[in-house]
Amino acid sequence: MRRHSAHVDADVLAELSAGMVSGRRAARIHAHLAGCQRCARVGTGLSEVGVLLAFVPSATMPAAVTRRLSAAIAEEAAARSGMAGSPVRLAAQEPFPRAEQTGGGRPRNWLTSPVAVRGFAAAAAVCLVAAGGYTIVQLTSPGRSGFTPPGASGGINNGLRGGGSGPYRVSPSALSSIHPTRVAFGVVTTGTDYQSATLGTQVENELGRSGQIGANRLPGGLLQHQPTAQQEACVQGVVPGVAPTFVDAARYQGHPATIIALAPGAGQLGQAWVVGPACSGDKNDILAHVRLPPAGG
Amino acid sequence: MKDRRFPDLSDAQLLERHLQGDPDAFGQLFLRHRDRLWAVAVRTLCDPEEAADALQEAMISAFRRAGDFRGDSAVTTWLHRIVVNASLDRLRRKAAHAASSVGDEDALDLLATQGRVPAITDPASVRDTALDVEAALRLIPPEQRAALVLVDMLGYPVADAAAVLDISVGTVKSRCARGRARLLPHLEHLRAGGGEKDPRTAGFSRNRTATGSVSPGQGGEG
Repeated sequence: MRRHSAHVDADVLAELSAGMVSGRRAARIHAHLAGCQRCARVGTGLSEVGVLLAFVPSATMPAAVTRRLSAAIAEEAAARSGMAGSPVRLAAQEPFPRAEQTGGGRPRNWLTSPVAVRGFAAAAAVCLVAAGGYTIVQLTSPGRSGFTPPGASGGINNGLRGGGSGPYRVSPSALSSIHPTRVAFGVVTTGTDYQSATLGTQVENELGRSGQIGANRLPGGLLQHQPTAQQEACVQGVVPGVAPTFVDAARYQGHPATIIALAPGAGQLGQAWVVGPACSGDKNDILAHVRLPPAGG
Repeated sequence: MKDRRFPDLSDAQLLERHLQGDPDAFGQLFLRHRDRLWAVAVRTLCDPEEAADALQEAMISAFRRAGDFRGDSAVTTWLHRIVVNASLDRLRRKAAHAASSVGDEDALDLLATQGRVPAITDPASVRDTALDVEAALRLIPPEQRAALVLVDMLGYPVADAAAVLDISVGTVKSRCARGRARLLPHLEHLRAGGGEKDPRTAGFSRNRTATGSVSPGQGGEG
């Protein structure tokens, strides 16, 4: 086999892998790859980078960030409507202060430094677990209490720092303005002991057993009861403003836990969260999260 | 996801409701797409707090400038474009700040994370492929990162990514290709060993299921 003295540039190999090189030039590169193990290995690796990136689970917006942005949007809506004295009118005068406008460099706050980011990432370690068609995000943290971002308790923190002026605070009544009506849902008790390795399958089975896939109804044949105040606050914290398809007061890895599921739809992934007993409006206590394949997909 | 008040309205109709003065319409639009928007911001910025700030900036901008939406693209494309631009603007400002204030703690942080692979020494973290990928993403130019986030991580068709980034399809492909080339040396260690259970993932073996992932192209949420 003919040996090639010069290796192909990685950018060129990447462009070849992306289908950007054709014709005689592509043929020359392919001929080189046939005789050059180094370049062939690089080429293979490049084609695999995209696959690896696709395997990183999609990030889900933390509940605290959802609340913060919902509050900011509600404030903006109130300002537009001239609703002086409305529940969402916030204490601060500046409607949308930018961190850059406050001077003094970037404020140090939760998750600010890369070290802290890594700490957060380690605490909410993302693990890809083989589970037959599902991507599971296993959340772990010291004390198994789940990650509770600062600002998730004691009011809504919009996270915009203003030179020590403190965060915005939204009164509890502001929340009712953001979510003007309570989301109705029932809680079932299937008695299932959900397991990490089979979480997606088990949730799908529980949904499917009752013909729930894509139907967005609570399971029939199972005893439903009204959620407790804590369960209601917990669900609102995990899926703000959304009625869950399925809430199961069950067990996870042998311990009491609640499963909150949004059924998949046609072409849309479903999701399920496992939350621990500490889950409340102030603390999500999310133990695991799994995405469910689209209905019919 | 089902919307409580607007179960049957399309994104465009929700935006129209917003323009007509409905105080809840834009918030619902945000809730519909928050996870995808968050994914774009947090992967592009590699910093959850920066991502939250950028998203808030973007959402308020979109709220105020909804009248500028011409309908020549999907509402989601428009929203993603605003988020990407807000994220890239932040990175540019951050880079300029770092260049002009050597010794500042932020600049040192930036150098620490952009000059080399972050030293993730915690064994638990080292085992985590996702963290390695995120660390590697910090090392490539933001424009390439944004393209890779949209195409490879979130599964957008190249044409859609081009619409979001407001660049040509060819430029998206080029940025993705060059981004992958820059990522490879930092991800090469993940290729060691066997684990070639699936030809789609042959080579990369650590902490990853061969059959268990949902394509990010399926990742749209209500």
